[in-house]
Amino acid sequence: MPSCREIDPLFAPYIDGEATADERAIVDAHLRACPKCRHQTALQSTVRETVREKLCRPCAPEELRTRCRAAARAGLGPFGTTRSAILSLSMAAALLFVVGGVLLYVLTGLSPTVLAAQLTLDHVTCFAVHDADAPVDVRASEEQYERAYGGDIRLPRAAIGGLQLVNMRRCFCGEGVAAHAMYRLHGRPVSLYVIPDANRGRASMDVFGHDAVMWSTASATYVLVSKEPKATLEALAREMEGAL
Amino acid sequence: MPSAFETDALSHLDSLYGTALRLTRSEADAQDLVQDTYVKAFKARRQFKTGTNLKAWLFTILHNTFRNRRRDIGRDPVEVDSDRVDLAAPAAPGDSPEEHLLREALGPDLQAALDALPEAFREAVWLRDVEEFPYAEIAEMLGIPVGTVMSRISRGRRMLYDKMVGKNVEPVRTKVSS
Repeated sequence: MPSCREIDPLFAPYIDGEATADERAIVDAHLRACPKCRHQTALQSTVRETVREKLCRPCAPEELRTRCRAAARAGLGPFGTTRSAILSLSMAAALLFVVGGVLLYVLTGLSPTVLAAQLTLDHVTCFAVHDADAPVDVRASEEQYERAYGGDIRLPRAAIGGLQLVNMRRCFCGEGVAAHAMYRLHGRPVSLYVIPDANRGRASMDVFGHDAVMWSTASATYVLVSKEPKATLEALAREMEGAL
Repeated sequence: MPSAFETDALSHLDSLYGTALRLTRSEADAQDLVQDTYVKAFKARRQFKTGTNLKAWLFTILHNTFRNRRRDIGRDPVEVDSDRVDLAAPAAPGDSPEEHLLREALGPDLQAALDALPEAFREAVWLRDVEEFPYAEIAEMLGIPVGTVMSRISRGRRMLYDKMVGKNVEPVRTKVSS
């Protein structure tokens, strides 16, 4: 029979009706023999029932309902942008100015570091300017992008823990045109740039307080940019490369 | 005439507001968060895949928006309590006065106890026990593995129980990437 510690993670799914038939049988057998765990599951079950019974979701105020209906029609609330949007836009304005300067500088001869710098600025600007919170479907986004801009853009297909694709757009950085896939990793911004027909090999760089990891396949160069710790980003790059 | 998407999306307003209130613990911030969520959802409506779960999609936007907003005001990374599920202290088997005490708890006391939990546990318990989302959907919304969802729910319920029966157990402080 499994020990109390081994079986403990099964108690929540057991109580919530999410355990498999096999798991239920294991827990049932354990509970018959273990009064301590029987007591623990009874307590957890009581907490669950009490929360369900006594905590009701509140009704949204009518004023909020009106604001949200207006958002549906206008795309923006009638009271204008919220505080966070104003903050993001002012930061974006400043960054666009910097990006413009960098673009002029790098029109010729992009070294990997300069390319990474350019893409990092684009990454920061895009997350400040574009809506990038709603998850989108990877295949549908690839198809939509290819219909609009052509090319054969391939993003990692397999699910990677905590990573959600939230937007895909065209970026004029790099050597003309790059596809910019915007992700959230546990809610934090991560960008993957796909530059077609380029072969730059592998590199890892630190630019503007961000890290960038670059690798190439037979048909494209991928550049991953974020503020994640270097080790996390490199591990993510390996996972993405493997999922292509 | 509102579109079907608009009507469906707005039918989840109370749920989103309730969750926003648990996250922000402030009516004004919760309203702001929900409005932002709808603005983003309506702008991104073409990105929503018809036939998939609209409510879960909206909750994902709410969660991401909340995390980003907090980062903007410099309160990230989040310190939350360990995801590790500790075995609770041994308790006497048989009839339990604690269970009775818990069942007799008043709604406002229970809500105050839930609001006092660290955010990761508060959110997981709320999404499961009040909004009744399946584990897999909560995992997708929060961008965490299902195993982590289970341990947060389990640990959150135990912490809630401890708060309600007055044990006030101090949880282990660790940093997690949630």
